[in-house]
Amino acid sequence: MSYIVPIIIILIILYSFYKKVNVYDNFIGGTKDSMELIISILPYLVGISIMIELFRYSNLSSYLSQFLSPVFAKLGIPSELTELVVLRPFSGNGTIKLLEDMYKTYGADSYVSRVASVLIGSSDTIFYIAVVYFASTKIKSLRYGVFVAFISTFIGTITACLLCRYI
Amino acid sequence: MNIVFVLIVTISLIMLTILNPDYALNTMVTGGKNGLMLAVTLFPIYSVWLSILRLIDSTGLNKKIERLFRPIIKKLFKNTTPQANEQIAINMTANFLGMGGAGTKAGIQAIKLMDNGYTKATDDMLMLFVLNSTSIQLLPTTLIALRGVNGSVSPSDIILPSLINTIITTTIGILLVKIFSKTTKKQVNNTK
Repeated sequence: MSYIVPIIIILIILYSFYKKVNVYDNFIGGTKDSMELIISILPYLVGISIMIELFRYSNLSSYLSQFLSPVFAKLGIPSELTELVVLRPFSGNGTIKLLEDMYKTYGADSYVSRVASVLIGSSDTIFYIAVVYFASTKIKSLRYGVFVAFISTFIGTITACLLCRYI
Repeated sequence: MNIVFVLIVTISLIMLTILNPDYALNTMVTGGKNGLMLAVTLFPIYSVWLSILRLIDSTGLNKKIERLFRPIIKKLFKNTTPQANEQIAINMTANFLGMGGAGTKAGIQAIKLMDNGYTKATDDMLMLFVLNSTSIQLLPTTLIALRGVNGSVSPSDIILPSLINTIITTTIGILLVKIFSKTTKKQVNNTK
C-alpha cells in the first residue's frame, strides 16, 4: 500500500517529461510557492502554537479531560482517550505524541490504542485548518462551520469506539 | 477564533501564574518556537507537494482530475467556478491518498478563488472546510507506520475501521452543512 504515493509521483514526473513540461523549473517554482505559503501562514502557526503550549503546559487540557471523562464514559468513550479527544482539534503533533505514549503504555494492538488510531485517521486538526485555509481572506466568521466540524468529529469518536469493538 | 484564543490563553495563564509563575512566559515562548519549528518542518513537505502540483497544472492533469470529480463537486457545492473546482478536486484527491501538503495548498487556493471579499464564510467554503476537518482518507499511512514501529502484530488492521469511520464522519458533516445552509438561508430571508 505504501507504494501508491511514490508511484503516483513517478508517473506525474514521467508524464510531465513526455508532455515536454520542464520538471526542474517546476520544482524550483514549487519551492518558491512553498516559501510564500510558509511566510504567509507563519504568524498564524506561531499564534496558535502559543495557545496550544499554554493549553497543555498549564494542565488546563488535563483538567478539562478529567472534567469531561465521566460525560465521555456515559457515551462509551474510555477515559484513557479523553485527553486525545480534547487535544485533537488543536494540535496534530500533540495528538501524535499522545498516541505514541498510548502505544507504549497499553500496546499498539490494545483496544484503546486502536480506537485512538481510528479516531486520528478519521479526523483532523479543525483549528489549524480553520486558521490556515482562511488566512489569505478577510473572513472573520465561519458561522456554523466550526460547530459542524466539532459535532461530526465527536460523533466519529463514539462510532470509532463501537467499530473497534467489532472489527 | 478570538474568543477561543482569549479563553484558553487567559485561563491557562492564570493557572500557570498560580502554580508556576516562572514558567508562564517561558511556556509562551516555547509555544512560539514550536510554531516556528512546525513551519520549518512543513516547508520541505510543501516544497515537494507544491512542485508536484505545478506539474499537475502545467500538464493539464488538473482538468482531468476536475472532470473526474465534477459530478461529486456539483452535488456538494452550490456555485463554484471551474478554477475553484479544479482546486477542490485536487484537495480531495490529495486528502484521499494521504498527501497532506498538497491538499492544504489546494484547499487554500480553492478558498481564495471562492472569496468574495465578505467577512462571513459562504456555505461552499464551509463545505470544503468540513470535508477537510472530517478528513476523507483512504490510507492512514502515517498511522500504519507508527503502529508498525511500536510493535503492532498487523499494523494495517486499522484501515477498514478508519475507512468506515471516515465515511460516517464525512457523511454527517455533509448533511449538517446542507441542513445549516438551508436554515440560515431562511433566517437571512426572514430578516430582509
